[in-house]
Amino acid sequence: MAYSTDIPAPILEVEGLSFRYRDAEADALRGITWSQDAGQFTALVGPSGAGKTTFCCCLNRIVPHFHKGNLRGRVRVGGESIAGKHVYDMVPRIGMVFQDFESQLFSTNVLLEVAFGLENLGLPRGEMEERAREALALVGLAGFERREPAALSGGQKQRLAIAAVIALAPDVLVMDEPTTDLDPAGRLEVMRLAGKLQGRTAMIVTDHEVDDLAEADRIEVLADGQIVMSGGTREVFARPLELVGAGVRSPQVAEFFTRAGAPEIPVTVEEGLALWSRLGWRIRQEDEPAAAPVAEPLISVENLSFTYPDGTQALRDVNLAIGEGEILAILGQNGCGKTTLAKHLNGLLAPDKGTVRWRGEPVGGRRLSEMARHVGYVFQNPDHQIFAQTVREEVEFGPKNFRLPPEETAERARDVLAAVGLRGQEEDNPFTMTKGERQRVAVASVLAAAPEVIVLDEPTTGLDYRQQLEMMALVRRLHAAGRTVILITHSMWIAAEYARRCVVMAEGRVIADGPTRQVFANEEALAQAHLRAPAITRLGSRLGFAALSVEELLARVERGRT
Amino acid sequence: MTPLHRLHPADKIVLLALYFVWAMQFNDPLGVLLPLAIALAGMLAARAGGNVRKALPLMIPITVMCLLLWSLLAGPSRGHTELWQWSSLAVYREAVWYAVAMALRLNAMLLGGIVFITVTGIEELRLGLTRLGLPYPMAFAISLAFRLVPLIGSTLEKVAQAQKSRGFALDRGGPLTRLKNHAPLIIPVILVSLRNIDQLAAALEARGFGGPTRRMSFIASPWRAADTVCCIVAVVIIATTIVLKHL
Repeated sequence: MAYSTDIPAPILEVEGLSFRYRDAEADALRGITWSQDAGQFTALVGPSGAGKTTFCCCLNRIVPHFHKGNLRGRVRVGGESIAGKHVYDMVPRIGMVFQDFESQLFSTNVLLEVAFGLENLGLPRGEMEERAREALALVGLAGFERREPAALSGGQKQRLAIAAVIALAPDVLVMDEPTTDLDPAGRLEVMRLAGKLQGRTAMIVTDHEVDDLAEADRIEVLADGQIVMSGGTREVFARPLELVGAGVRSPQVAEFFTRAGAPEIPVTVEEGLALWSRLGWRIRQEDEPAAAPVAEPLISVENLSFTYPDGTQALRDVNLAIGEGEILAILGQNGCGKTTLAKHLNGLLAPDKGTVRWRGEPVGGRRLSEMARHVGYVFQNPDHQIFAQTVREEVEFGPKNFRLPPEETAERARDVLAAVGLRGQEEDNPFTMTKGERQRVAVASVLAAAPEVIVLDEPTTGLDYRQQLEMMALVRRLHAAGRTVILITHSMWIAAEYARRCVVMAEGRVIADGPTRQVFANEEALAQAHLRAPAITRLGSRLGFAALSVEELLARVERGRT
Repeated sequence: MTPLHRLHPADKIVLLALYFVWAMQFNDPLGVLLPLAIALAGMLAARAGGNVRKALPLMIPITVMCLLLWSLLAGPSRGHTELWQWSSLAVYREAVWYAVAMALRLNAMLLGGIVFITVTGIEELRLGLTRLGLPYPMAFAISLAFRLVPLIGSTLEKVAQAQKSRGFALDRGGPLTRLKNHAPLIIPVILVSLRNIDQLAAALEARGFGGPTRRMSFIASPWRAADTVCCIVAVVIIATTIVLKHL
């Protein structure tokens, strides 16, 4: 692209854009005004329900063609109004990548996937091939042309979805939460790619959080259908408390220095370290409280190995003891074996080699329905289990399966709905609830069987910051009430702040296991699992105290000459 | 890539249809061995053994059902050599013989279908169907069904695990209860699948599907002499069979 000295017209201009979904009582977007230059990378962040997806869908006319409603305001792409256009008319102008990469891919191999859009444009075959290969090279998938999309990792699938859109050479590339469903390695792949595309094409990337968006040129914060914060990335990062007010988790380093009353606000760990030494602040050293002795193990996993029927070896000689009343996190990338391991704990899977014991007795000899009463398992996606018309019916499903008397079933449903904060919503239809609420219905329905252990598989994925805090407050309450809690998670800050013990897995093996602070200070093991401690922990480690939260570091800071 | 893979997609569809018509001409166990042998030869030529093995869990119960039903239902219309009788229910040798033929024929046709799927990618199927005159959106919908089956299968597996973890047991109670028992499996699968399909539809249009531009095909598959020869041979075989049958 040639740069001229003239001030270029913005590639995307949005004026007073409002939209109300048919049958909705309030506007999803309320008067959005937006202007974006060619080559600019803008991040659009905000909590669930803020209107991020609706905004993206307005740009390529999915709103109002797929999602009907009342659309007002003006959108111009490349100076041309898009009013009256169909979704396919927007193809050369707006490229759209969706959150759910699984449902975007439908071809037999990678090359054909990218070619699909080009076929629709009616390009000559030679040009199709050239463009498809170029796009694959750009996203780092050259050499994967003949591979089946289903056989790719999450990050590769999302990069393929991006390649399929880039090949169409859009003026504006819109990516709606492209990293939400990915593990940390996948997120990094996609964000690196976004960095590579920066300057080539105008880009809009949405997310719940700002963590991965440090490379963006601008950040716009959306809340309740309106832009509530806007500015250069550094400028927005340096206003952490406002971000939290808008429902977005703040960048930890900026939050720490803001709350510690520093005269300026650094954003990265390096900047934080530089400021720290300039200010002459110190860490107050305190003795760590000794770890509580491990109780008699409730669950013990001995030399466990497991291979799926397709030949994938998911677990290799895993040993683990889980004591009563623990709260522990199992960390690792997708495919590292954490879910496979957890599915052995309630007997959903049976080991090829080794033993899983419950209170000293092998799980193998018991029925799944019996183990399910001891070890409750909350699956990642609540939609894979919710089937009932009312919350009450959904929650009573477990106790009824276990043939508890009706009075006890009703009592348990009442208790667990109170525990998850859904009292008064017994007769609501779970399908009309938000994702965060549905997640809590799923937890309640598992709790209703009164298990001693509860396994939560990615309980915060897809939830926004406030929903994540609510979910984890619930987990903490369950733990305080005496339950043993096992969290399977990608989210390093969740593990840091809520788990007392962490187990890190890579390629089917346990590579680190210990108190959270100790594991998070073990950068080598984390790197081996392609994980990275939260920014506050990395900052703290360099200062001599691996803080697990902003609060912990605040409690230890000794301000020198400020 | 075997020679079968390299046939033109439209040719493969025509051959499969002709094969089905041909196989339907046989209804005695010995005669059915002919289409079965052809299907097995096709399986070897296409290296479809792996896919056939995957389909066995489906083929075996179908075979058993087919044998049972035809043995009972084909009844005395085919002959009266009684093998076994219990009050008004009787099993005749001719009926059993017919059931064996039907089971073999069904397996021959299933094998033919598996060979076809093995040598035809979904994009090729789409191309073949459009070449045979089907409008592109319809060809696309048909080919998509192949893609959705495994997707729905994997959703079903996840749902089943989630419900089992809540103490759900399908194999409880009488037939009516069992049917009702499926709700915790079926409802989430349908809802999740509908949502996936909805998203897929949006993603397809966002990549230009359904637009007014004349579509080009990325896969090039020229019609070759071999395709013509295969068609002619197939038609000759069918015609001969039909003529011989009615002589």
